[in-house]
Amino acid sequence: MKEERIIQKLASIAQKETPPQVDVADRVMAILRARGEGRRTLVDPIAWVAAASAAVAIPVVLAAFSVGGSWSDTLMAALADLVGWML
Amino acid sequence: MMWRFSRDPDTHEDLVQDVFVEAYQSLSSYRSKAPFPHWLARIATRVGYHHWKRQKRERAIQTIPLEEWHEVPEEPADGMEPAEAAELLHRLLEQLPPRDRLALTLRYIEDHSVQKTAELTGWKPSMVKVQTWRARNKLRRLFEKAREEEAR
Repeated sequence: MKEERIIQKLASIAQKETPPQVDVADRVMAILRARGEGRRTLVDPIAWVAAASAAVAIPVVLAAFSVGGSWSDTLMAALADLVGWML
Repeated sequence: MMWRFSRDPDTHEDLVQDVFVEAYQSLSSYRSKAPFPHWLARIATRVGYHHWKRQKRERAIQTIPLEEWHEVPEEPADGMEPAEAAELLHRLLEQLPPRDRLALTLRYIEDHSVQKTAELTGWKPSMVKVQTWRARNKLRRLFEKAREEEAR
């Protein structure tokens, strides 16, 4: 189907696009705090929000975690890829 | 990923925000059975899909008029700018219902397998295949309709 080839070709080119960078940290933090979040989970909202900003914030996130165990290790490793993927 | 759901910078930012807020509020439901990025990807897919459904309801979509479809290159050049290709593809797929659009976006633009698409959408793999096939057929009919209009 010719149309499928067009879509496939456009898609293969489009995959190389770099999405715009966004920083939603302040907004997310404001929303979570307005809703009274942060008391019910082990993850500090500031640490969570810091992961939503530029990659430079990642070391801050890692230092903020004090919970041990495989779950937090998984989370920390995942957060290292979080920003780039989410964009 | 959220850039696939909206190419408007303000809306894109809203969607990214929504994903992080929803994910944070759902953290207690994360069971570590699936890798964390997979869990987050499902939330992102859901947020994006709901955005498209809302858009459709509000009919706030800038689509490509049928008379402009002849501008879609039959053989997109390798030198085409990625942003240009992405924008054109985005506007083409906007013609489709959200479910069809999601299937093609995940399978073609995000280049996910049937299995991965099923995980992201919550559909069965057989449903992904059927949905993708139906979406391609709808797009083909839209192209044919555009050619008929152009031929008049």
